[in-house]
Amino acid sequence: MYPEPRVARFINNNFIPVRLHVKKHPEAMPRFNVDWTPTVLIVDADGKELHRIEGFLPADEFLGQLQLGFAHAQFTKKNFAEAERHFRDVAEKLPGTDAAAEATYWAGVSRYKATNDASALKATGQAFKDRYQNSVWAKKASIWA
Amino acid sequence: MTGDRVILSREDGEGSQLRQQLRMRAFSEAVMATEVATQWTEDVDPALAESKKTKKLVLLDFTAAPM
Repeated sequence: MYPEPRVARFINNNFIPVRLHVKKHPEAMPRFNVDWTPTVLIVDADGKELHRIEGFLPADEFLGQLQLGFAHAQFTKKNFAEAERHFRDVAEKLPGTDAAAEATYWAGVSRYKATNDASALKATGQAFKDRYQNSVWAKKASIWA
Repeated sequence: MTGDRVILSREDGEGSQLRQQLRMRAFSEAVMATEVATQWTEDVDPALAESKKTKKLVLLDFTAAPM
């Protein structure tokens, strides 16, 4: 997945990349509560975990998860407009991935947090009537529709 | 380069072999170019320190694959 140019580009633009081989750096696994490989973590400057990807994923799914993690990090920092932009990017550019449904949900929440306008949640609930109906995110958004 | 073109224009076995070698070299270089596109470090704490300065998030990739 890393030789995939879109993945490499996203990593280079948004992260400081650290690769830890389990045999060379066994001390790093308990430090970050990692019990399985491959595991990819997005952490902040204090080493606080913001997002976790466990197991292999094909390039599109992996890129979706990376973008989702990046967007969640913006959300955590209360950069809601920026978070929404990244969540919508996942939903629009990677619509066939598992990350897209979750991104659709959080894009709506981000819009609501940025504007305090409850219609953002209603629109998100409505959007799930057209797609990802079987996802857990559609169920979570159903209360808004 | 001119020499390569002269040889590649020949339809004998030698030209074909060289063409194949050049294709393989171009392919290998393309693969290497994308693989080195991400500059991985193996040092967590310096990466966290850099994160403090640059405000960039840190991506930790735990792997058991040959490096």
